[in-house]
Amino acid sequence: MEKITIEDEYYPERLKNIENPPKILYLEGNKELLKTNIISIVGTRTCSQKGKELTQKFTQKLVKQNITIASGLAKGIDTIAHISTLQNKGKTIAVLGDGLNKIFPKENIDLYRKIIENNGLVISEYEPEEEADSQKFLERNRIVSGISLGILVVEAKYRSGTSVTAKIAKEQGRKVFAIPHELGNINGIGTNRLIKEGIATLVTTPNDILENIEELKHLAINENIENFKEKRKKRTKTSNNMKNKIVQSAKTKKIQKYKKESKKLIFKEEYKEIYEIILYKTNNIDEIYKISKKSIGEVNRILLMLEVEGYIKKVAGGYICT
Amino acid sequence: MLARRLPSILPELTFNEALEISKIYSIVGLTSKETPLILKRPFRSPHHTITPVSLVGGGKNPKPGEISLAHYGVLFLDELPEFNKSTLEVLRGPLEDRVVTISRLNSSTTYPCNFMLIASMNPCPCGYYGSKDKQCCCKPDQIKKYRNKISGPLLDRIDLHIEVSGVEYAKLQNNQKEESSEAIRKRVNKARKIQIERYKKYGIYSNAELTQNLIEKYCKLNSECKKILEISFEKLGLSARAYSRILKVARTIADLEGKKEIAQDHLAEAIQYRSLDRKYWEYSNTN
Repeated sequence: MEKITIEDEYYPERLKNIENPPKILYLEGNKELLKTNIISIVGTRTCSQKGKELTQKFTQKLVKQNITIASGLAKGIDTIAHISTLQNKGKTIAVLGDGLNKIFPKENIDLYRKIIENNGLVISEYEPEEEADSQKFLERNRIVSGISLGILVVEAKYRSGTSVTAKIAKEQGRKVFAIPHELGNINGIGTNRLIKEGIATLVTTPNDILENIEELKHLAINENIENFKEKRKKRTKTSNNMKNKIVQSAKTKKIQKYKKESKKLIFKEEYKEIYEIILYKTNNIDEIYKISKKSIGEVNRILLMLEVEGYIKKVAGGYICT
Repeated sequence: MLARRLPSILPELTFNEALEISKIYSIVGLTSKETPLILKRPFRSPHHTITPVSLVGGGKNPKPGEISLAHYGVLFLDELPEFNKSTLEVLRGPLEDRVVTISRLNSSTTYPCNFMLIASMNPCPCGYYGSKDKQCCCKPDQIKKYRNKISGPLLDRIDLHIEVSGVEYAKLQNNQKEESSEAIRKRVNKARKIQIERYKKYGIYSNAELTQNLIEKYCKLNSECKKILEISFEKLGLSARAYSRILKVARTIADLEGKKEIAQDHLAEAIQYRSLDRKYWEYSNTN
């Protein structure tokens, strides 16, 4: 454990500029991370399955761009953000609302150790033995947003600490992003309100976040130029039924990509047929039988082989292409 | 609903089976002068509040429980996760041994319980996880907790796991002709006859009762099948207990088609039926 003051060279510049920066920070782990580009991902403690998937998706993309993910080591979205960063071999920072020796919730002690083992960082402004209380968690949130370039709210309920964090972040001059949810989804009330009130920018893809942050713009623009070039190429080739052909070429491209990846399973006609049914039409097993007009045994054999080779994946409700 | 229709496709009873069932029923006092012999395969569906003792049998002078009353028939447990965990765990031994020994102060009795276990459950507490039409409102923790009510060892002993999606109202209404129960029953009877004929020497009636030695003898795999089985075990994370069960199911699928050898299609189908114990159902890996 290490203790740094506001004058220390490792003390993040961004954090100094907030209204009431912590005078002292306790650190454990890789303190170099404080100098990297940080985006924090926050959300409700009682997240839904969908929230979990969204968090994983956004984290994965951001980690790929070498961005450090910060969060609060709380249950729900925070935990998922930390875990999926580690799974994608990314760097993560956990900001605690209690002392470093008093991890809360207790379930996350394991995660705390894993973060440190995997070159991550855990920070807190409190004395190591200090216990958690709800006030501290609110105070902690100003550090989460203070050290980061922007903050992404995945899911937030009607009355939630997450919304408060977002407002603090806005006051600090940070970019706030929120994922929209359908009306009536209780886990989306908070995020939708943030967007409505103009506090948060609506994002649908991880790239939206990169585009909206000055320091990270170059990462996003690259991707765009590539897309643009590709589109232009296609445009010169195609004329009347342009749309159709783009879809077609995307189809073959995707399949070619898969062909390359696996040498074991040659893409035979029958495998291709079933694969395309799952890719474009349905993931329900019964419907796959019906559309393919093959016997149950045959379809099962093909599905099994595709699954074993990693082309498709079984999820609740059917199969999806990986 | 589906499970309750099952008795209509069960194979006919042989005379010896009928005698055995009748013996058990007469102990409990369920036979009468008018119906001295039970001629239909039993179908028992106890409510989920059942106690372990009434499930396996017991009492001062041990009486057969629901599992013995379902001998040569079906034991249907609706809403499996609602059952008490201790109640479900007592099923483990009987499912493996097909007999249950109940010891009490006065006596110790062994009752046969060669039943087919059928159970049903929702994918999550709200019932919509993985559904296309409605959004599931359960938290990952809740789903995990719900699934954890069924232990791995019990799940291992269930051969066929089938995911059924919700039926739309329009489909309930339309009278599209599916294969009738009578036709299915004919196929089942044919397969049963093959099995009875094959196992005449050993005093058993079906593939389910095969011992390890007999599996090696009758569930032979060709080299292609062996390859499929090997990679599936490796990639799908199936348990070792599942091995012989997959072979038995593959044998049965082959019998239903009247084939002598187990082919790739049969084996693949059998593996596909074990969806619940594969790796991806393990909720704990990400949360």
